[in-house]
Amino acid sequence: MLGILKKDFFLYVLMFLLFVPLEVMSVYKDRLSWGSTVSFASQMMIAVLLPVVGSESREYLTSGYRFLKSLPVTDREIVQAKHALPLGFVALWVTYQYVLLGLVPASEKFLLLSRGYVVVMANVCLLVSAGILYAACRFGMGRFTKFSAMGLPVLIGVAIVLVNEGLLRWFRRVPTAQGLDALAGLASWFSLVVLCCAGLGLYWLIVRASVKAKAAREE
Amino acid sequence: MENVLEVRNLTKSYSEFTLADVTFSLPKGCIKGVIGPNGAGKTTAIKIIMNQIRANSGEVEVFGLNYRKDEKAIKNRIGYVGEEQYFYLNKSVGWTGRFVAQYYERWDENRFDNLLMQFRISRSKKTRELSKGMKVKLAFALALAHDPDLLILDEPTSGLDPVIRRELLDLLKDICQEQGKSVLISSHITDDLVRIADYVTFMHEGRIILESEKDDLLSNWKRIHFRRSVLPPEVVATLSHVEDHMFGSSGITKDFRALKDNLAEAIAREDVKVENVNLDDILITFVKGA
Repeated sequence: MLGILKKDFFLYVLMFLLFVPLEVMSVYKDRLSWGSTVSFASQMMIAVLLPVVGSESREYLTSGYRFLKSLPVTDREIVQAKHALPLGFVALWVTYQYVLLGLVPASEKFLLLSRGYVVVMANVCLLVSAGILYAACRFGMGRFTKFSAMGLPVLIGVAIVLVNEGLLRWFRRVPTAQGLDALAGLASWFSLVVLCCAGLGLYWLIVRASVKAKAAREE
Repeated sequence: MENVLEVRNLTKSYSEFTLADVTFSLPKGCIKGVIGPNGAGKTTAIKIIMNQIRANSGEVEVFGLNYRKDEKAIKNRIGYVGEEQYFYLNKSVGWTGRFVAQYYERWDENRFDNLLMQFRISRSKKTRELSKGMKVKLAFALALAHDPDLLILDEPTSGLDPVIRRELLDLLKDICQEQGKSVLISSHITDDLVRIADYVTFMHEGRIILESEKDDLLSNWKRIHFRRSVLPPEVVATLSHVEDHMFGSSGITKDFRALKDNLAEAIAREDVKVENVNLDDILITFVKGA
């Protein structure tokens, strides 16, 4: 399992290191804002999902799974290793963004909403990662190669930009002070923990389904 | 004798091919060659034995263990060289060795280094830069560096030049003779198997059609050259692939020992000539007869 983790680790680290300076520069220049919060979460999505797609495409293009099947490593270990990296890096991104939110002065309401938003997006990111990995285990990347190599990253990028744009417009236009208070009220530590647990639970269920799909599939 | 591999009643169905009721075993310290034409089911059987594909029914036991419970323990003791070599192509030979080493309990880095040296493969070379022959050699080095008890080789020498083929076969023979390892090797190059195999299993159209000790097989299968006037019709009837030529006839017997006494006088008079057959002849006899 460690070998597979080490092999794919570089891709995730590369993306993390690519985006972190951008965030720091952005906060240093413009301070914290709704825009920066939305942008953090978007960068996390891109920095995690692209390596997921990239590593699966690489396994397909180099027949990596066939190579792995000849070694003493089980389908369960392969699938768990593949799911461990997105999980680990989403946790790293959330931690990093929480640290950043703690370091820069901002209103309590803003911090609550930002933390909540980051956790929601972390869950979305985890579940989309798990969905991609499940599809790769169930159907193989062959079916998605052209799509995954070019289409999927573009699609993810476009979707993230559109969601960002929509959210920012909404923040600028709709929320009243009361509405924001109500939203901030939802983002208590307790509800964030519940949300994290629910996300992790779902993630674990998809990992189990992926193990079964991988075992049933012939490379 | 203890069996390191037991395969029982394996079946696997595809739309255009069925592996049907394949049963065989491999005694410890022996080399078994699986022979068959392309599409006979050799690779399918080996992939099932390696747990790379699942059989529809049947059982595979390796070292008395089964894959459901002990996949890692089994594969830790197997060295596998497939029909095609799969590596991470953008990685170097050294990286590949280090990657594979993490999965084997008995990985021996010195042995891997020695094998690379013996095969003249540079550690720094990317695997995609290796020729087909070099890739096979790298696969052998990876398969042997963890001191496996059983080697499973699927057409490892096809497409290789005769020098490399001979080099690899000699290495295999040495390993078995000196270290008591067992080998299951599939090939349609029967010369390779004649050189090294103790047992041979013939496969055709997804079935095992013959299994025997190689020496026993080759001493019992003979080509008989005769004139019809000399050989009684009931003897001719026992021969396969009887052909009439300008100067007589010929046919193949599967049981020369039984015929030997009947033919002794004719052989002495040189009315009948007996010729050794090779594994190709036997395979062709089955394939044409099928």
